[in-house]
Amino acid sequence: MPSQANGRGPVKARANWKKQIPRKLILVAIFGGILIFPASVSALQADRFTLAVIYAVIGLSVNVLMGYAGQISLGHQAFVGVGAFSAAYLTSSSGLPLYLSVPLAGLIGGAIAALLGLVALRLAGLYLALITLAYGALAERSIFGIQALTGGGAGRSALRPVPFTSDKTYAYLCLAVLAFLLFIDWRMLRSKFGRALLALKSNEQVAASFGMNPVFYKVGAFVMTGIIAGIGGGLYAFKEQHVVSADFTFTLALTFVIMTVIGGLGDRTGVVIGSAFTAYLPFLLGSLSETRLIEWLPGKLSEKIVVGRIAITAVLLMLTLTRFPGGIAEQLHPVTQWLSGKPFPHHDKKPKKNKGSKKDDSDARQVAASKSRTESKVG
Amino acid sequence: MPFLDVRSVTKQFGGIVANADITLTVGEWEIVGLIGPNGAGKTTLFNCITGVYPVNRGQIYFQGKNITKLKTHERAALGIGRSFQNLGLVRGTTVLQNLVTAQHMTAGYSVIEGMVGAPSTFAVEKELAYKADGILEFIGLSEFRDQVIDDLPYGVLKNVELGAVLATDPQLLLLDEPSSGLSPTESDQLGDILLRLREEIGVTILMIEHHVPLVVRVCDYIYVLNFGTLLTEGLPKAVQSHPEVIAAYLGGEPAGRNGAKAPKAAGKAPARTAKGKAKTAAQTAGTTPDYESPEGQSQYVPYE
Repeated sequence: MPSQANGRGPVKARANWKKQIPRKLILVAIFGGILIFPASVSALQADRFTLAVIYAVIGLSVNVLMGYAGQISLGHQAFVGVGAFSAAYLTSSSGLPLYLSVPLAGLIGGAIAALLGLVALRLAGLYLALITLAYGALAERSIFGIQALTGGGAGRSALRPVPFTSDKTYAYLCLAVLAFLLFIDWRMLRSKFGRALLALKSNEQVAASFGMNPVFYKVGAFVMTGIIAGIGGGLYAFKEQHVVSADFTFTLALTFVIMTVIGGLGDRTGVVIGSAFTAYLPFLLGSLSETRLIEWLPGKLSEKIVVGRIAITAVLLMLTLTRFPGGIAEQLHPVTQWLSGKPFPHHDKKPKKNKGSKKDDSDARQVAASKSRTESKVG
Repeated sequence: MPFLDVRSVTKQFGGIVANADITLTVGEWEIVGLIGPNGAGKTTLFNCITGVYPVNRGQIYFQGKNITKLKTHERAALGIGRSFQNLGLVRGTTVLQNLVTAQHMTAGYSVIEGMVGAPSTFAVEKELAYKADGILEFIGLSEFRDQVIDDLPYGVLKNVELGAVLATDPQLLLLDEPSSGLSPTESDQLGDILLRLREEIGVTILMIEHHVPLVVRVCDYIYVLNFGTLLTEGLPKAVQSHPEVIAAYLGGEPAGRNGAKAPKAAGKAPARTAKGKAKTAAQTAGTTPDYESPEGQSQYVPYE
């Protein structure tokens, strides 16, 4: 016991080196698995994988606004749609290559989002939510209906260029973009921009007293979210290779928000997992079609999937909102901590404050008692 | 030229006059107290000085520069740091992260450089953390370094907040009740910290404070607000025994209100000197207030 108590010094650090090996192996296995997955499965599976990756990109976009900046957007399908149509238009009309049209789609998405950011300077909370909702509906009805830009109801095609014509190579491209955006997200949160967003979310006056310009960072958050959503939309356009305005309905905006909340606002690992799960859910339900699990649901298979999806999402959302506000990320926190090289957070070390059930209390008391016992022994 | 010069500032909220024609000055290296009962307009005045509220009338000069029209973050950039009554900290982050966040202006890279992870930014980030650690050690909070602030008691957070304000590299510190939530011993230590701050960093302080022993010990000069107006001003001991101040805190009629008015601002004329760097000057002038002697204090404890 005493040696353990003293073992927090360099001695333990050296011992840790060996302990890190299994963690690194698991990490390598996870990332390796993700890396070889698209290559080792069918083209259809790779296409579904691509959708999950694109959802993860969009989830990161929603997370910047809702998780970091504490603003809300119920019009995110419009940002994604603007990105998708921009990419499709730039490619099919102007003949720009993919590697130019997707970043440009991001910039256009950012510019559009900046307009909403200017509105957000004057409105907050529910009113801002309503404005973004209205903006989404407006884009759906008007912007996406402009024949010259979006091809009207017929849509616009966005054919993939040579190296990415196969679903598998395209999956890798999307994966690379996601990895790049994850890096940006990581650096953003660890540098002044991310810190300013968190400070603004916490208290605008405090942020200003730290010398942060609230106007710049509020609009900046919208621009950032718009850029990422636009890139996600551009990737989506090339995934589908044909964009129609019917793809970007209000339901999609709700899905984007819900998947981010379920994943865990403010935590990029959770958001990626939540988004990917949401993208995969219909396929998972589809593969259950033969089993008794969803057979009893009414309607045809497609209807069953819709009902099942809504039910599962609703249950997860309720669980997140009532019991686990941190979402999936909160549940995975001990594991991610352990994988990142920190000790597995045991419950007795740091008891949760608000969830102090009787059992925890007695545990803590036992620990305290045993501590005092050992101390008295030593003394 | 005073360091901070508030010239007849008036702030109205509709029909309510929160600050009526307030004039006060703070000299460089001074520690000046701002006291008054609840609702006297002290925090409103802070909000006017920091630019949270635009003033209705009057001007505010900082280091000779008119800052009346500047935004809060622009005033922060000039060196006005400020603590809040209800904790100016970023929730959900650790103590260290708060102190790093507060060094926003020191982080001399652009937003985009930070986002794309430019190599130079890593070095800057390291410096920020190093400085934050130094401040934590200065205030004696190193043990809480990696704790999320939501889990810490109010008294500790009040000190963390002081650390965060210091991290902004202020030349003028506006402290809003820095000792609230602290035990008498802790507020004694806070007094030490404030005096050391002046000695070692050379910072000027204007603070709202209710804890009398701290005010008397630390402040060079005191302004008293009541119902939005400046009631009186003077050296700590003089203000403390001022009948109108006692009346403002305890209610009732001051002895000398109708008849012989109490001498206004007993110490206004001679004794206004910062105790720290200008100590020798003050001593030669023979005006250093005798803030150490505790006699007579317990007679009037109107602020508690």
